[in-house]
Amino acid sequence: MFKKAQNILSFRSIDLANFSLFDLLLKVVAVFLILLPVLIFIILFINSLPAISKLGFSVFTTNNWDPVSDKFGVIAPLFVTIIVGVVSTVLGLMISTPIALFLSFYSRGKISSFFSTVIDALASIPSVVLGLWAIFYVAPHIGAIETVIKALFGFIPFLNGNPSPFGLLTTILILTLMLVPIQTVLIKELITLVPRNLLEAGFSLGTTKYEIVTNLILPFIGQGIVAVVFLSLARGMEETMATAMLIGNRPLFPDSIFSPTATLTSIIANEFSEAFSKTYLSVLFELGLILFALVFVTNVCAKLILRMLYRRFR
Amino acid sequence: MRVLTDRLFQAFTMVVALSVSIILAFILFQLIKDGIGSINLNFFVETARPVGSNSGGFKQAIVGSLIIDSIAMIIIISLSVLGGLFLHVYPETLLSKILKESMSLLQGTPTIVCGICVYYMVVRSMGHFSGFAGSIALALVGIPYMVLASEQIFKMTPSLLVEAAYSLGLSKTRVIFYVILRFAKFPLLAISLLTLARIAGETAPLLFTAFGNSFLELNPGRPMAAMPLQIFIYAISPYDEWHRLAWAGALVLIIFVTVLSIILGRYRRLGE
Amino acid sequence: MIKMKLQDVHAFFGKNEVLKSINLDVYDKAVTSIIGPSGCGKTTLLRCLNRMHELDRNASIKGRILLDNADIFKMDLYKVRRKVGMVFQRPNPFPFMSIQDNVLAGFLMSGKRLSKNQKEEICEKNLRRVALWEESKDRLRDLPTNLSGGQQQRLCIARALANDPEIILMDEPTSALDPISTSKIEELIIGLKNEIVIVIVTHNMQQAARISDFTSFMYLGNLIEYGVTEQIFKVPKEKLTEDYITGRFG
Repeated sequence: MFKKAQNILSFRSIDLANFSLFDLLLKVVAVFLILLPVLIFIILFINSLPAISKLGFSVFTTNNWDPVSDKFGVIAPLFVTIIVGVVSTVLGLMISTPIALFLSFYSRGKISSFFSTVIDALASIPSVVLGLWAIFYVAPHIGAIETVIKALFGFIPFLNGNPSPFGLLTTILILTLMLVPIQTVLIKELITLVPRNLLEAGFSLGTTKYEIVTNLILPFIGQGIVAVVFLSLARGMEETMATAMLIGNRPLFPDSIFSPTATLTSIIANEFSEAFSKTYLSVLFELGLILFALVFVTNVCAKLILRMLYRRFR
Repeated sequence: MRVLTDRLFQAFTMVVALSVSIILAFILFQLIKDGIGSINLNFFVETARPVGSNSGGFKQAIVGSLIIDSIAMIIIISLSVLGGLFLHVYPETLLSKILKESMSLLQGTPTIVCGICVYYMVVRSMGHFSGFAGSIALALVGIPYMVLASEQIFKMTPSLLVEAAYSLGLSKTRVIFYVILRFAKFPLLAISLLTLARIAGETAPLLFTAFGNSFLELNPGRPMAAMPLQIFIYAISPYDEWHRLAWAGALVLIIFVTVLSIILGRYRRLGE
Repeated sequence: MIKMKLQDVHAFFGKNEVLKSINLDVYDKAVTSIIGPSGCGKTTLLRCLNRMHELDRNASIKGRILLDNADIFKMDLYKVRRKVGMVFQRPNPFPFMSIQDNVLAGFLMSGKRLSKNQKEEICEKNLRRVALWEESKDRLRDLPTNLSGGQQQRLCIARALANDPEIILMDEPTSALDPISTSKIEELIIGLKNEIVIVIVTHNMQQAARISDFTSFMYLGNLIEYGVTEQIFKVPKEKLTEDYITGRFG
């Protein structure tokens, strides 16, 4: 009773100050939140200015990362960032699509919810933990895998190199594992967009589930998969911890899929606190800016496609 | 033949699902195997020790994480609930559309980028790394999820109730406090905990903000250790002893994060 | 002659029993209609006949359904659905397939290869059967989205017919259509009954009276009465049937 009275009193005091005050608070917070990404962009930009004015476009033309002699070529890390993102996205799709189909068509009840929990659990593992696991349980064995790959496919240029525990392949494998749950959830979501009456029409013609999948589901969600590709590409490119722990951190062009190299994120993570000159630090901010722009563009592509799809089917 | 193809395809999808589960089982098994041995009283009451003393624990990291995450959650909850309310009270206005876009933009921002921006904003102006800077960086990561999720939760308030409240002549503020917020209490708690689970494992934003500390530090104005950060530092160190501590830390972290997010699985998809 | 025989059929969603011990004979060369208030289980009954009911998660069936004296639960699932086609409440042609491909969907989707001639032949034959040939012969390659609702529904019937089924199940096929399209589809049904068995669910009693030879009345998951349409509508044996037909409830 007393508590209730107190409640009403406290609410009344807000009311006395009237709605406009609370309203104002809401608006101020909204504007503040809107400004956050703008602020991030501005900070990145201001801090990269020294590097941009000093180095100009040379960062995109020099193929050399050597902070000691003021050489900052970002082609290699940029290229590696994209490669890592693309390859792990593609590998991830080859795993996540079957799982999503399994969850939505080939399993029901307890089995389905068990595997959904597995996917959720995998998604919730922090990347630093996955990185730790990979350092001790994937990296030591990667040499053997790489030797096999080299023996079998060594004639393909990029698959022929010296096996090394830390490098592109290790990173890609772990990133794939990180992207699988994200992609699975998204694809499952897409499948629910397929109108139920079309599925029923398909089944009533006496087609098998496999035929439904290839003739109905895949054509239907094709565009959506493109959006999933962009989303997981963004996610793969921005991943920092697992990459920094596994890629080997040698900011050079990789000569094979096995070699240690570096991505934009891993360079920032590893060198930021050691940046000894103003230009060096500024270049690292520029890397951040490039990464920001790259991820922004891929995310926007994904959003546009998804928006188009939702408009068509909802 | 057709039925056979179908069966084969079914088997294929099942095998893929199973193998991913097996990988997960491997990860969890190895975490437990390598972590459980080092989880003892020392782990919780001792701070980091130099190599060779064969003891030492995670106390400073656990305390650090508690402080950093608490401050981050206070920032996140207060800003996000207000932001979500704004989206709910002014739906379809220009400002709310921009707010939604900017939240999804922030959601897509690489976490390491959030980290270096907070480094410039807070660490540079304070002159040194601090737990507080870490909280802000984590808040930047958590805010967009929570804003979008809380808007969806407010949307779930039955419109019947809201209309009933309005029909009694209550003002908008009162409707918000009496009906919408009261109705959303538990879902809001759930998504707050999920956001906590999400930021508790974030490492990249802390690298150049909280920075890490081998000693117990209770003042958020000073550099602080944090669980994920400590795991990272120990994992890339060359000492077996530290590796063992890293596994133990990872086990504790993952129990916290995974248990939280599986319990609250119902709310997981909000805000994505 | 009995085409399909239901013996003590029970259907469930989870633990909820939606059909309670249905016994029903579907006769050859006749239209059988199922009427009843909404929620009485008539759609579920229909979906049991070609095992579409099993598509729903946690749905299950007990009892026996015989098609030409063979238990359909022991037959190959996909064969059952080919022998027993289905037309749905709302027209649902595949929106990304051309009109011709829609008619041929049963063949194309199951990976059967057809020559160009066969394709055109099957397409024309079945479009003629549903009286859609004249209206669509110039735009067979177009998407079906430009067709009117009634035309789309007839296209769906053609799609079901192209599979050469022995029975076609129709689930309120005219409920989403205007009166003119409805009468066209009704004519079609009457014309088809010499070649094919039709089971139709409808909530429109006049429709049942107009087109069907046998009528069954369902209520709350029970089959209350089943018989020759005239008898059901003129001299119903059960009080419930009479109440429903005279509009006292439902």
